[in-house]
Amino acid sequence: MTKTAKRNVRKSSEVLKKAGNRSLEEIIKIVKSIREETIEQNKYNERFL
Amino acid sequence: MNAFYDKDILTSLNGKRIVIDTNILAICSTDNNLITTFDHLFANCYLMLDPIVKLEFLKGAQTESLFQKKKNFLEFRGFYEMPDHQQIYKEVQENALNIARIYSHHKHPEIKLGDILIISRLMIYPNYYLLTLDKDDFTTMLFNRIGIISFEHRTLNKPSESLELNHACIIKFDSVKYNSCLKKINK
Repeated sequence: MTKTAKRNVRKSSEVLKKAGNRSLEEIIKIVKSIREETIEQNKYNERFL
Repeated sequence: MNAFYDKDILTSLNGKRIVIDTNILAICSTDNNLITTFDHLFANCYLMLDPIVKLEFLKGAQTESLFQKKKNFLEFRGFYEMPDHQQIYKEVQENALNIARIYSHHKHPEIKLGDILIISRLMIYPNYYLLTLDKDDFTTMLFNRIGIISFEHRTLNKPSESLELNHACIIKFDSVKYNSCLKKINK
């Protein structure tokens, strides 16, 4: 088997790894919080930076 | 939150792996309606996180609290990590140099290093797609446009005003275009 063929076998057999297990409901709460904090951060930057 | 798209294109993406660009992550992480819409639209796809995209996304946090929240956001059960190991680094580096040469040769030397690295990693996975709002750097010079999803989004700058319309492109790296561009440089 050539080097490239071996590599392609590896790629096709790579198991997908989940980034995490947080549910959509949990993520929505986090998103609301990120939104509030990012708006505050942007206001601060506009004023002082 | 309204989204406008061709259903057949989304159906054709069932079971496919789609890398999400930083700009998509950035707006999804600040709009709870949008993340819900995306979860619905891409329920049958694997949304992939590139290590460079993760880095770009997290580096914008100015406070430790925001950094932690962004890290938590990336732990969404709908996201998958792209493989990341020594052999891939070597391939990404080799590809990156050629991508940089091609963009410079086409009078686009200002392309960001992050984008070069994202393209370089995509090259290793010919069956992966990229979902991005960036139409200037991820052009049809090296990619094929598969579809466009237009969606409404609550902006951060004017949160109380009307919804903004964005157009996300689903694109796929084209190795034939890449080899043709490389050949022209080497002439």
